[in-house]
Amino acid sequence: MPTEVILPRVDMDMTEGSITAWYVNEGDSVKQGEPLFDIETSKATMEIESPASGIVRNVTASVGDTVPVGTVIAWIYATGEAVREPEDAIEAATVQAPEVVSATADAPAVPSARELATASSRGANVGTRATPAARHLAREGGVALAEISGSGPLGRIVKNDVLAFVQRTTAAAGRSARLNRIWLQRGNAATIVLVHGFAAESNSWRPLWNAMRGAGMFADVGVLAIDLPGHGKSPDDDMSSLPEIAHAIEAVLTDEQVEQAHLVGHSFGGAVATQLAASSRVPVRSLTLLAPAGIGENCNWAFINGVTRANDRAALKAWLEELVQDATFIDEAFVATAEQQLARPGRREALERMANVYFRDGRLRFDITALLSSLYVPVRVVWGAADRILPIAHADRLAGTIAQHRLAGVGHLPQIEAGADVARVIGEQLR
Amino acid sequence: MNTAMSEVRELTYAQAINEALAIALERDESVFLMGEDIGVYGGAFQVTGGLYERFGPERVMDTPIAELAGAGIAVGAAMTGSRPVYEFQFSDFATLAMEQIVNQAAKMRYMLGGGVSVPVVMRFPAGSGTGAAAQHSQSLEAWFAHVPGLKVVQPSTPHDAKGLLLAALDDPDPVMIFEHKLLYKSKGVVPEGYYVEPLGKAVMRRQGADLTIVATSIMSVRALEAAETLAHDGIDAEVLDLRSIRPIDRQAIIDSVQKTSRLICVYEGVQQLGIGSEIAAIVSESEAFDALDAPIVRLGGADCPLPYNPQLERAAVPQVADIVDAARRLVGGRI
Repeated sequence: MPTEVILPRVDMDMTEGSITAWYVNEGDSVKQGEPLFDIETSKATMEIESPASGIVRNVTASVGDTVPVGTVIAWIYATGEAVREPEDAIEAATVQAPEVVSATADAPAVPSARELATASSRGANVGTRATPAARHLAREGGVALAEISGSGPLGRIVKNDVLAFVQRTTAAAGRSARLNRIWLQRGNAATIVLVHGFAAESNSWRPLWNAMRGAGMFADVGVLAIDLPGHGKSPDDDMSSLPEIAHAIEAVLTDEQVEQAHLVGHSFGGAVATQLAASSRVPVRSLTLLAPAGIGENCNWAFINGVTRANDRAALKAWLEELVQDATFIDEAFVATAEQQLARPGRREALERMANVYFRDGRLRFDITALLSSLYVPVRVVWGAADRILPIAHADRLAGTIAQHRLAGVGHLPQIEAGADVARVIGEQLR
Repeated sequence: MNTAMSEVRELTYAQAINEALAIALERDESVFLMGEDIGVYGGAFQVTGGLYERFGPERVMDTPIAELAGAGIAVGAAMTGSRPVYEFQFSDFATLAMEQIVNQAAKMRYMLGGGVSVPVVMRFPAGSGTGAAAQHSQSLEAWFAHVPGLKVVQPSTPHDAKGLLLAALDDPDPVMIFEHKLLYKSKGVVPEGYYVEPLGKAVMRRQGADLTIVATSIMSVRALEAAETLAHDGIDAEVLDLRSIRPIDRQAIIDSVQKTSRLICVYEGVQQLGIGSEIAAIVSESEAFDALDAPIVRLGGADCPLPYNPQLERAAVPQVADIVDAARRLVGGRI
């Protein structure tokens, strides 16, 4: 029976790694313990050894690919063993009972713990792997296992992963009672919650708020803008996962006694809003996403680097103009605000760290499509056809049940470039 | 602080058994010993040395090489008022006496509605490591633990060898005692005089926080050695010596795993269908299931007849290094 070659977890908080070298080709022979491939994580490059002796087949990841921890990237077949297609091999592993001990010439007589681990890991691709203790703890704490990344073999969630997650999110929630927030308008029942994007801050919603007031649809509604960690006046707390940030936002909503939220998120803020919509204990009634990150695979990495590293106003202005179709939207005030943001001590470094976690090399390191499909509230997505930061082609991946508002001649800031249209879309979500 | 009755000193495991037998023969006239070469020769492992001289041929009987007959005599004697202690020369020869042990000794009390009991004790030198090869090295205790009506114990220390034997001689039901050959020369503190260790109770040999090792017989000794090494790695192992495999001290296992959340079962019997299988099932059927933070690990004997070659003989059975390795991987989150 073939042995799976799995992308291992080599760091505690690693969720994926990229393959930077293969030492064998399809069809080559390897011995157990020989180097198979190198993986690179955000921290280091590591050589990974072969778990078994045999012939390498069905390699599914190439140099340069990034795969989640636990993915089967190749199979090692014993000499003479019939090769199956990868799906069949997984099925075969499910059907056959695990062999714990076999007194063949190859196997050591007493099963080593490594053998036991291999035997127990030859299972089908189960939904979420978690130990009984982890499941019990997650149930008690009201935490969804799907939010936690596991540090055990095959990405199995162990008790410590749940504890660490709870600690981080509690700490995040604790810290985030300090997340800066601006009430643009106080309301009676529902609250529109505005979540800005990477390198922006809450005041960037003011042009949209002006347009909303003009639309006359928002008389009784609260409008609350929240600064993400490391942005605006919020503290520079490093949060390295969407669930952490979402929990921090949720803590603000609880703190502000928001009873029903209509979430509006722009770009990276759209991903945060989606994560929040999927897990919030504060009721979420609708979700409006403006050019959201996390649907397509790539983003404009040059832009992100350019903005965070711009050394003078002229350079910054040039990069900011990438945000819009019509450069006149980027006026001196806009640039000055952005410059002020970046001038805060530690702010550039915090943004660079965040960029490395979420957008490194222009690949989005998170995917919200699954979260979106789990929602039962009205979801509308607004996208500018001329968006040079997150191309509108990403929207082709959206499910048909999600309404799309595609705006011709608009770049990455529909809330500024087409404020009236965006105000109307948001207003319709309140009905 | 010593009393006249319970002076403390070191004896070997074999000497401790010898002392228990002597005490029993003195206290209770109905007790007698039987077995091949136990009398004049003093026993294949010198456990009964000196007893023939002290108590005579009516109390210490040499039997022919006829285990089925011997067991039958022991069962019959037990049913008619005696308390025989039948020593098998090797546990492997229990196979010849299965009918009398399983069909008669285990069942007579039940089949005769409690009208009779069978207070027989049978002792079995067991286990590998002496180069005695496939037919003289087995650990078959799991077979007997599978039979209702029997009690089965595996003492791992001289103290327990004496205490469990004396408790067995007080028990109205058949008790099978499996003594590991390599333990006969091991030394330990043994109180003088009469005392018993309760049948059916495990004993915690080492308290720990990071994982539970449930072990039987010589594996308890190896587990303690492993725990010393693991302590240097910062891994704190709890070692539970099961001592009794029928009945099993379920609560001790459950309580320990609830505390540590990780479990290794170490036993010499063949891994498949050995005592570790039962321990794992006990845990998974209990409230301790929700405490498990990793799969249960079993380290048992290899799936082959025990080899004669000394290196292969060692490789066929869990050693200290195997326990250390498994514990490191288990606690390190690699299992």
